Amino acid sequence: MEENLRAVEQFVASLSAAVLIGTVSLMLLKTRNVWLETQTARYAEKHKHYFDYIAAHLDDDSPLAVPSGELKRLELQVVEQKLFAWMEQIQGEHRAKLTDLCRRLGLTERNLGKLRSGVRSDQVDAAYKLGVLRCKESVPELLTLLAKEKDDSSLFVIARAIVKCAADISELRSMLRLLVEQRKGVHELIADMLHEAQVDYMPLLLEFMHAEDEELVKIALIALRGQNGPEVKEALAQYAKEGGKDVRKKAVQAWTQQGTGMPPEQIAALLQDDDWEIRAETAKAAGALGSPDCVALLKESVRDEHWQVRYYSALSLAKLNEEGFQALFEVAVSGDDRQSADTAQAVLHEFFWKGEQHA
Amino acid sequence: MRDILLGYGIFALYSAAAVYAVYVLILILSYKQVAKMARSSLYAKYRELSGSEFVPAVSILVPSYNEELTILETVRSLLSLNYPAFEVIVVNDGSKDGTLRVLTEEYGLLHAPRLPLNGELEASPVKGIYHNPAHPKLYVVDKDNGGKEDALNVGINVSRHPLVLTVDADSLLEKDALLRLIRIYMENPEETVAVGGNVRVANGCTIEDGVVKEVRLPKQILPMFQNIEYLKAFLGGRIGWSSLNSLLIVSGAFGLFRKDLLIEVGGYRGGFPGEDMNVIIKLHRHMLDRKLPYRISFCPDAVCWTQAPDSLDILGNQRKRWSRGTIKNMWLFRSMLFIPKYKALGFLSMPYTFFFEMLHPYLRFTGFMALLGYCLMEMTDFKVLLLFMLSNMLISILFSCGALWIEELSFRRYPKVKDLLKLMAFSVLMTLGYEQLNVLWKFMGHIDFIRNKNSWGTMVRKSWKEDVLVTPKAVRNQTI
Repeated sequence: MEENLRAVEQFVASLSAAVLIGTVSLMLLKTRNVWLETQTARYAEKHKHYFDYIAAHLDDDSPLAVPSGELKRLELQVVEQKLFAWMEQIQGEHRAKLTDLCRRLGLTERNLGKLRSGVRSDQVDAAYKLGVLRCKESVPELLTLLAKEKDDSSLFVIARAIVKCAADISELRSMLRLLVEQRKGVHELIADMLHEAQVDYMPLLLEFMHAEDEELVKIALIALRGQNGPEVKEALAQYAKEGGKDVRKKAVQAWTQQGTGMPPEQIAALLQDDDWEIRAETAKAAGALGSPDCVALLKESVRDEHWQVRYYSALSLAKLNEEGFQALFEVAVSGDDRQSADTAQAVLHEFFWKGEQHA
Repeated sequence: MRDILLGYGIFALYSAAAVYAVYVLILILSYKQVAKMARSSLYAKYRELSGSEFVPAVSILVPSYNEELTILETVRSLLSLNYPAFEVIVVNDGSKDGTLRVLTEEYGLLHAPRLPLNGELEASPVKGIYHNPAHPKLYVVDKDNGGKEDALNVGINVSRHPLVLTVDADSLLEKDALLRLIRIYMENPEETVAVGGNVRVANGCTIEDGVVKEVRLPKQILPMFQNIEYLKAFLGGRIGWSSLNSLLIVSGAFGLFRKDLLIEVGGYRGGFPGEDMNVIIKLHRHMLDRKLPYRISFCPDAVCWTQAPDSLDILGNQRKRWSRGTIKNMWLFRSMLFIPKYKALGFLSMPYTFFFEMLHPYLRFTGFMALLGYCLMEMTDFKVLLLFMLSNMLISILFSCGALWIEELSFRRYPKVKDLLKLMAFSVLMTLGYEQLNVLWKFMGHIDFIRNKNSWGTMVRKSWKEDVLVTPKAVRNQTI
């Protein structure tokens, strides 16, 4: 019994020690955090006039001066944080000027060093910062890091940095190929990232429109939304007809946003597609493109078996002026198909009701 | 008798050790994960994403029953979200108070013609849809009372977008909370089935126009205890479970789901407390049965603030309901236990919940009784009994400490030193009575389950603006 008691006492003693260590370390962490916040606020206040100077001299021809005196590590971090916040919001000459200032402050060199450190958290941190600095020389190392990265979120931090730093489309191409190898289906996020590129990436997207890898095709279809041109149009027409369901759907969506007419025969074929999502997207596109040739086709597709196709066909008819409206009325009053009549009535009702409210 | 007691004592001891070992494992995984999560969030481009044409549109569903006092702040908070494409669908689930009236008056809503667009989920019929084109993102759907699950199913049927976000009517979202969830979704849209957000206790905070302006700790004892429980459950638990892709719950208070999959699993199940756990287990089973790659994630920096009950009666009702929901779900899905195709879910999180969380009250109680028996039969002395009780307390404090470490390391919502001291003090205090009460409530929840009791119990809700008590209501709340 004595032995058991001693064992329990030892267990309680070790638990007490763990609680004590946990509490003390928690307090130390809190104290450190509070100290860091106080120091950060102090340095931000100290350099307030320097930041005012930068804001006032961004348009000057001469380079911006570095802060006077030697900066402590935390002080440099405060300056870096402020400059980076600006650089993320501005473009062109102003950003180039701040980038130059950061180089002279040693921030580029420092982050390149961290990128080569081999410590994963430092590398991801450096990747982000080198992206803000648009550091072209970091791209080869960032590509190597990207190829090794497994974590979802860090992968995109590094990829975005490469997009920002890339000096030509070959670097962008390498990054995108690496990224789609590691992650499928992230087309929207990649398209969003591409907007931050400094290089003209349109030729790359046009190249991807004809790629064998469907992932690259999908990225191109999404990033090309709103883009015009014969080459794009031709590729969209092709993909709307062929390819996997997702590719075809994205091609129809891109077509809608491209703003040019889709031939009625193509609309007719797509509205007969086996897949309801393609039919629904086409119905939506027909209204957005404003083609009066579509009225008869849409009037037919208001009778589709899927509610979304019926709904978008009716909505599109409502957008196609007098002729479309008349067709919608005819469907609404016809007694042969209850579902299509209900949909047409609902859309008409909503349309007039909204009109009344606006009036 | 002595042998039986001794044997049971050893069994209870090893069982407790196994529970704590899993706790430690999950806590370690949470630590491993949280620094990465905080870092990636720091570098995420939320400002740019909030204006991006590439983020997917989301339908926000707010099931509401007698939420007259909180609904306006909630809707205000939702309409002011930093997000480019969303609609808010408040489903008035046959409220007996003025929920519908306050909404229609505040936003000038009129009976609108928009009909439910699909009837893919079985749900009660819609009595009317209210809308005002001047507030194009807001729709209020009126229906007869059918329960939270029914209201959510109606919301899904009415919604237009491919993703749905469920939000409790007494909860306030931070401005970029939805963006933070969406970032997780956009980083892996093909595999992401659901993403849960972090629910924090709003009692004590300063709230203006649906926004938490100043974060403060609750002034009352019970919300303070719940605050620590939430920190332990969300930071110390869910981050770790999500890294194993075996989260059993995404809070109904704040969760993002792929609508097509919700429809495929039949939506929310009626007459079921713990509907949020039910739908998540169904989603796991659906994906694992079909051998499809998927993930159900947790995003700790997407924050939703909620009201915590501040009276023992209400809290007891809530906890009994949660306990009833857990046992009901575990019983319903018992066939998934230890089946290889269900992976970590079948071998770790479900058995853990089934055997340990569910049986925990019995182990604690009977273990204590066995020790008492030892003492009475002079197999040991009262000192050992006290030492065991002390070790139980210390382990609980240690886990609170772990959750507070994660909070301090990554989120730091409570900036003052005195906040931390208060949290630590309450971590100790909650071991002296509150935790034992929780055990009792769990036990009572199990009795309710055996008696087939299905009511939601009563709740007294407070207005966000005024600190006054209002009429009793039947409450539906999330399980933490």
